[in-house]
Amino acid sequence: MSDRTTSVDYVPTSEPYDAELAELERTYEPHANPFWAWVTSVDHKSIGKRYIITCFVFFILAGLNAGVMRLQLARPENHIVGPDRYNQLFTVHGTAMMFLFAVPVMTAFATYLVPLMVGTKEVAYPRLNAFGYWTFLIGGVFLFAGLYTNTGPDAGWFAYTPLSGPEYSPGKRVDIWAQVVTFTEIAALVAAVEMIVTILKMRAPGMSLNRIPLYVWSILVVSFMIVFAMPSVAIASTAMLAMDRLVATHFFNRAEGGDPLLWQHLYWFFGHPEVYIMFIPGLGFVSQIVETFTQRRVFGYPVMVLSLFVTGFVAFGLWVHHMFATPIPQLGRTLFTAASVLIAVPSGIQIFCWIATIWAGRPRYATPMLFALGFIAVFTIGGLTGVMIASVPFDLQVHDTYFVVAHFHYVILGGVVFPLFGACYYWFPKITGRMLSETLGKWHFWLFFVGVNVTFFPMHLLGLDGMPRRVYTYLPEMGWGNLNLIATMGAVTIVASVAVFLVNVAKSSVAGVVAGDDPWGASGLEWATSSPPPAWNFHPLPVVTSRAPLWEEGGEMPVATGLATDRREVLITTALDAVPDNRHEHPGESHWPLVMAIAVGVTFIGAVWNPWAYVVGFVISAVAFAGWGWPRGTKPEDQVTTGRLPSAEAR
Amino acid sequence: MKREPRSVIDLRPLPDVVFGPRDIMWWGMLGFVVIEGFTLVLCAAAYIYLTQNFTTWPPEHTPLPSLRAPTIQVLVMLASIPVVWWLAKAARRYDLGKVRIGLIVATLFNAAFVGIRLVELLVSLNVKWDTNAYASAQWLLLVMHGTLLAVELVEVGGMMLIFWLAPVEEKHFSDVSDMTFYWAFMVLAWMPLYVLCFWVPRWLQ
Repeated sequence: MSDRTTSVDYVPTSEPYDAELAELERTYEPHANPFWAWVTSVDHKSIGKRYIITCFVFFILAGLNAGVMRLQLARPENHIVGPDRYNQLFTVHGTAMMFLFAVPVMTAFATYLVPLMVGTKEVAYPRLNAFGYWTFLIGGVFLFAGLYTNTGPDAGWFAYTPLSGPEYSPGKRVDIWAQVVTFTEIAALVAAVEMIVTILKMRAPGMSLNRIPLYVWSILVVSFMIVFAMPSVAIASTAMLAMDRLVATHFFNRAEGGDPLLWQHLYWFFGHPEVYIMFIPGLGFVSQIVETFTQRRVFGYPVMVLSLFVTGFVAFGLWVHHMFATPIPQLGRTLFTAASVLIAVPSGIQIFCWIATIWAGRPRYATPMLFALGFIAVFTIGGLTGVMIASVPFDLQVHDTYFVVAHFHYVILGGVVFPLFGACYYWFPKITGRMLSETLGKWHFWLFFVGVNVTFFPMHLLGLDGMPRRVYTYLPEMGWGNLNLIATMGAVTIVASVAVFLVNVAKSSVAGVVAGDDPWGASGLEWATSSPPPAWNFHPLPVVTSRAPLWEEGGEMPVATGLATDRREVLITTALDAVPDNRHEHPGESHWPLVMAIAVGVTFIGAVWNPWAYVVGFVISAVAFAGWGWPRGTKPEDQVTTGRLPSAEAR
Repeated sequence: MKREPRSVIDLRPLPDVVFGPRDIMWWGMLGFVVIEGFTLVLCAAAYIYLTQNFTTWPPEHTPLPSLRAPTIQVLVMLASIPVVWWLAKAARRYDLGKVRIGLIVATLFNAAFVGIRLVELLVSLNVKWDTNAYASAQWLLLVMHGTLLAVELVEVGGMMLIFWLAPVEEKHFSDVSDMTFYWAFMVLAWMPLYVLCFWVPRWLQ
């Protein structure tokens, strides 16, 4: 960086600066029609916000499924829903919570936050980002459209073959599931590439690897995991299961040499890393929150980063522990047991680092911090039962019982939802410019904390008592009635807590206390810009000289100037040391990402009924691709008219 | 306390068109190469997994795939490598004339790949996908890789049309360079899969 470092007189309140801001306003000006502006927006903040809201809508819809299931199970021999509807309810609940909420909501937050946290103006590929969102939306709507028309998938969220195959699941329910998975995989993969390149190539000058915020590290690790995990379920569901059902291939048909266990391998090779893909960003949230609310840098930064990487690697060596009840060789069982126990180590290290940070800092128990502490408690319980079921003999006893249901809800609610709610309270002021109510926030936290434990703790006992998961009712003689009733009361408490949250969001969005740029006294770059940030995030770009840039005392704030304001120019820096390397012009608003997503939608939704949809969809996609890529509005100075450029050799 | 900003870096001297790993479009391409490459690896793993269910591969009464069209495919693919290498070099020199010609040749090559792939599927495999798990696995590999060929045909063809019909910008030369990188992946990824689909069945007979 030093060779390019110059000292330029720069006065942020001067006339030329105001002229630059006015020009940026023009450059980033959205379409005059608000609806068309919304449709064509490629701003990562706009896409991030709608992504977050969409995920929460799916969370609520999937939560309502759970509510009906809990009412059904509140007492023995209940008849609120029958077995067929119940199968659809739990399948869509699990599918939506995993594919439409827990993973994508992390993508959604990352889409909003990462460019701000690394100090850049945009994500790496804004149009691709918009395309990912639209694809996700179409997939999610398709799933719930299936449920509400009594065509909801009903073979469980992991759709085991042969149950999900053509012989045992006729009709179109499982086909909808298979294609919904495809939509969400496309969205997740697109976002992962987006994040990897944004983080590696678009960081503010000076933000070398050892200065990246821990949340951004968590997103980098998760994005790499998505790249290697998602293809597995994509081929299993789209290329194999859907084809077995649609055109009679035999991948999972034992009679013709196929293998149902192949499904389980491919599914869990994705499915287990998926658990970590969900909660590693949660770990990132907690690190940011703990740092701010103790006003102390997180203890053991290098160890924290290494723990994230170790978790990411080992996560790919655990998938067989979901298959201990299948004929797996003894050596395999031992290996996967060892790996399952091993992965507790990096998670434990992080928990001790947070405790050390809180111990040494001056903790302030605002709502985000309460959720971070709630995470530590609930997630630790989920982690400990995880170590228990990593043991083959124990796993065989509780396999497919409510003990497992209790375990993974503790992990997911603890590891994903607690940090997520904390993140909502923490970054809401940045996103909207207003604070959420602390009073309602504390009500929300305590109701949620109590609700989660009252709902899911009894399920451990039910599981140990032999209650199988996925039963729509049970006999009074089983003696499971009281614990189920308690669990249902807990679920009602969770519903109340989420209602408090929604009221808080609605109320505070219009009447909350005005936040200012940095209401929490935090250290990261996202707090260096206004709340909410302008379309271009930063002008001029910040230059980073430490891991906590906003906690630097005194002197002047170093910035980088010189990016064009008459076009959407971003700075590309080197991957390791974030040295400025080149300027890149980003595209503006476009409706083509939506058109492309619709083309993809036609393809995969059509393929539920007819294989020729792939051919038709390919043609439509090709047209959309041409519309997307065709140059428009080329500036005369950018055009190459003839032959070899005189300056080419110099480049 | 808010600190006053002071400019320490002037970004104006930086280039606005770069090639290869300095360009973020190259990184995006790399991302999709990794995803698609790993998808093919998983398909190959599934293929190998399914061989365990049979005493011979292909199973009894299932004909072996023929070699002629697949081998021609491999030769045509390898022959395209020097052409796209030449195209990449022309793009880096901003040589509009050579890039235009190179893109036509590349489009023709890519169309040939897709055409031969259809022959491989419909003629060379000698089985329909619904015959047994062996047939399904063969179709899986050929179709998955064939999808890459078809998508790349759209990209190369589109690029060719832009260079002939639309206002060409400097950044488009960098895009051509990235496209040749993807091309190398697409062709080289097929080589082990060719062996797996068309030679391994001969060895596991």
